[in-house]
Amino acid sequence: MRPATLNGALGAAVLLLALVSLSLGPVALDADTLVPALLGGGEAGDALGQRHQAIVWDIRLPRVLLAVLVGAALGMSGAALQGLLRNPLAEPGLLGVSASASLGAVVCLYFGLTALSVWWLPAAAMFAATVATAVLYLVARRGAGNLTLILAGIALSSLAGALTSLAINLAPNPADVQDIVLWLLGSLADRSFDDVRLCLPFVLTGLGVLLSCGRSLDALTLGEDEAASLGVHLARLRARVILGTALCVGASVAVTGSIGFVGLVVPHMLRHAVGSHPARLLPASALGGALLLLAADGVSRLVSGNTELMLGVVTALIGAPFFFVLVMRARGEVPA
Amino acid sequence: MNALDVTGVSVGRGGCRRVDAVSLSVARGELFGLIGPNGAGKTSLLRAVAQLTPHEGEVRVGGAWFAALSPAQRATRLAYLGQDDRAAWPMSVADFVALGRLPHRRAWARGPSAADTAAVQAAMAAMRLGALAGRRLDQLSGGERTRARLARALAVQAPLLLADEPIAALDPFHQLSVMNLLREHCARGGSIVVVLHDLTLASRFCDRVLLMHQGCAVAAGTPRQVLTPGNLQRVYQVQAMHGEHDDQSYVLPWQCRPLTPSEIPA
Repeated sequence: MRPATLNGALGAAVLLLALVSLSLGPVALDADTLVPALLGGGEAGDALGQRHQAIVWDIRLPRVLLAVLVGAALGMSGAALQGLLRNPLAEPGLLGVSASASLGAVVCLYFGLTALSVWWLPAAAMFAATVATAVLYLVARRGAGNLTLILAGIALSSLAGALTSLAINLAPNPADVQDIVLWLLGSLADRSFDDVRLCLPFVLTGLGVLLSCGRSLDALTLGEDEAASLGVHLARLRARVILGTALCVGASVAVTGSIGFVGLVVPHMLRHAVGSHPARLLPASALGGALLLLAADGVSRLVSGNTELMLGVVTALIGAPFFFVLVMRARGEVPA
Repeated sequence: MNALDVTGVSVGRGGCRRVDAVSLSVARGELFGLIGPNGAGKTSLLRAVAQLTPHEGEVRVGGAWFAALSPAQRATRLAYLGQDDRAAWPMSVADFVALGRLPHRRAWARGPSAADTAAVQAAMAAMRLGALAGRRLDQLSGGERTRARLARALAVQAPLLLADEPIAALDPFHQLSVMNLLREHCARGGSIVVVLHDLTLASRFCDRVLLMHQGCAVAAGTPRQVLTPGNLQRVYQVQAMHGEHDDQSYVLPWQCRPLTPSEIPA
């Protein structure tokens, strides 16, 4: 399939699913009510129309936009990290960026800083992601190979996980524990345009940085020496991928909590369709990630009864078995 | 002007120098063999020439001081083929060969230029890959994969190609065919430095060879001048049969003969 065709099809699917997602919910909207509500064309005296407009603009649209943004950020981060580490099992979680961002959020919840200002939690998540990235960058800058980078990521991930467990362990009251655990599960519920505005600039910058790495990641298919002989500056490439990933993942975790498996599964599903080109995989994975997260969010809303099913749980339930099958199938094809 | 001039290149520091003040020059159109036992420093020398590892000494490619060029400029003047023969992703042969055109592509170019397409086709034709263009890399045999990797390096269209043991894992048919294809490339004006373990093939195909031992250049010249019984004994600790066939000399390593204590230089 040609890349433009694939991306076009994925883009159209994202748009379609976004519209479906906007119409789904306790108040079902059909095309006749959704379109005027979306365009803000409700007549002044039309109370029902204004109610529909409020539902679409205040509740559903931020949720859909966040699903698209965060899905794109996680999908492309996964594709970029897999390209950099030349390893189909790499994902943002692997390098400890997600875990560190979660830790930042959890520390905030633990000390009750969220009561002071709603901005504390996102700020702490992004700060922690940046610190994690800086540590990884220091490791990468000293000419360490990918194995060192992966091991550093695992160490960072374990440390962040341990500190998060410590916070849960020491939490003074059960309400804090519930806050922390719910955060860790990841969700798009009750998000507003404030959340969209907060993550949009960081995610867009991150996506841009990652997209600019495409050519170098293509060259890296040949191994580090041959990529360098084709003019790729390896240290700079590592720094760019890490920076782009930190921006994408940090901003995503900040507004939605931790959502796993998107960065792992989406590049896997699309790799064959793009002819295994790391550069072509980047935009395709962004669109695929948006699609997957929209679908998972739709599922979580449809299935939910009294208790809202958390999005991170849904992506893990879809992603983990799927990934397991992929690994089994790829065993013979992908070099270890 | 020589395709490559290496003057006093050393890799590593102090007592553990992997390459110690090696000099060599390769003329245009020459197939130059780099030989020596395991650990002699052949790969380190090759990586130093390609500016992939810190080193001392001077490397000039086509007369230009190589270290002073930008990575992008270097990429169009020297193609490097390492030992690691597994590509990370199973792309098609045609896509894989086209990776060699990356130094010539503009940053945000939409697709390959006419020159890119022509270079890829020429490289695939030179390596007899026409029938395999659509095959996936992980479905090729070892010999086919070596040809695909060489085609990738040729697609760069650099005047100088460095290849590190390209034929080490191949059967005799593919060893001979790849060496023949390298010779054809030199006949078209390309220059190649190739690391070889097979002394018979080195003596048969290379214009000149450099024999390395423990980081130092032991001897340089035509295979007949370098692969003498004395050198083979001293460096490889083997005895070889020397012969002539079709006006070409060849050597055939025949048996081990470790140096006696009195023969080891102090």
